[in-house]
Amino acid sequence: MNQPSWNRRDFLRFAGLALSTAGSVGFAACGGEDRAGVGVRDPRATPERDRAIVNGALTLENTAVAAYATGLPLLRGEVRRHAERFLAQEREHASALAGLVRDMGGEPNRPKPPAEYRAAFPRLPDQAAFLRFASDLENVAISAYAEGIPKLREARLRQITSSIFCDEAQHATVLLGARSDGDPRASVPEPFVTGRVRA
Amino acid sequence: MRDQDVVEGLLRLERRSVAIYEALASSAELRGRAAAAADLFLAHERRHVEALKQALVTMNAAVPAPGSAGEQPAGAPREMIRTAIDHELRCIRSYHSGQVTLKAPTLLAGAAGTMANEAQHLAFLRGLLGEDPVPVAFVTGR
Repeated sequence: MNQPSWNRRDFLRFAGLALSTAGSVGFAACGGEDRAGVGVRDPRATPERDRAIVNGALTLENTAVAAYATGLPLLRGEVRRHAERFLAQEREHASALAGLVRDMGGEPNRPKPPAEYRAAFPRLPDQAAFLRFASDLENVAISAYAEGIPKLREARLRQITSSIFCDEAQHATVLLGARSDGDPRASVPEPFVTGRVRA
Repeated sequence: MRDQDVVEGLLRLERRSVAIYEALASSAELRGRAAAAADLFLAHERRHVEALKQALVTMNAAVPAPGSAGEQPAGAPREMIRTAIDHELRCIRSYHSGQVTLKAPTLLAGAAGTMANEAQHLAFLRGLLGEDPVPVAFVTGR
């Protein structure tokens, strides 16, 4: 059977984005521009880069909205109730991020037409397929937020995006739990959330 | 506020997290998924403590000695889980504030990844109590 899986590369190709591949785990790993960890801000951080990071996050949120809207008819019971809630939350994220991009003088990335999303998504014949796809997609978003947040120059943006990052991490926990009969090790697989651990 | 001060504050909270999950993990009242989650989350909180201590060492700062662990959670499993939920919310709030006060990118990255892990603990614990695991779109703690 063709497993419906989406990874970071699939997403970047689809969205036309180029996100950094850098990242760290824990607090003191790979210092980069701040090896000593003595409180030096990243000198490459600029308002323009902030706007690009937030707009990239908006593209992810638009994709998540399309994914949950596509998957809802496949879902039943508690999983469906969760997915309905997650769809509403992804819409809230997209709206907030679009507002931030406008506040920064930019043009928010617009959602693609629904048919374009459907054509890009893997085949989703049933609930199990959707749960796999959705958890992969949440992990792509988690990975992007984990890498983007520390690069943001403006503290207010870091706070808003970190609150969204945590919400996506919670979505992943619920989706992974639904796939594993609530196994905590499958639902919360890493002590520092990076989105790189895949079920 | 210096990064060192922020990290020391987070370390105090994480040490309290370890104490809470040690109490849960050693409780004979907790069984099944709840017991397994307590063991797992205890291991996560210990990793957070070690990472924060390492961050202080990297800054050439002294690692503070542990203070009082505070009152241990007790009572029925639901009450103990509720104590853990309340503490996770406090931790999330502190990491969220840290996104304003911290300066070093490595610390910002670590704080975000840890905050998200605490948010996942929170969602799982709420699920154990039969509550909505993800009630809000923007997770900021309390």
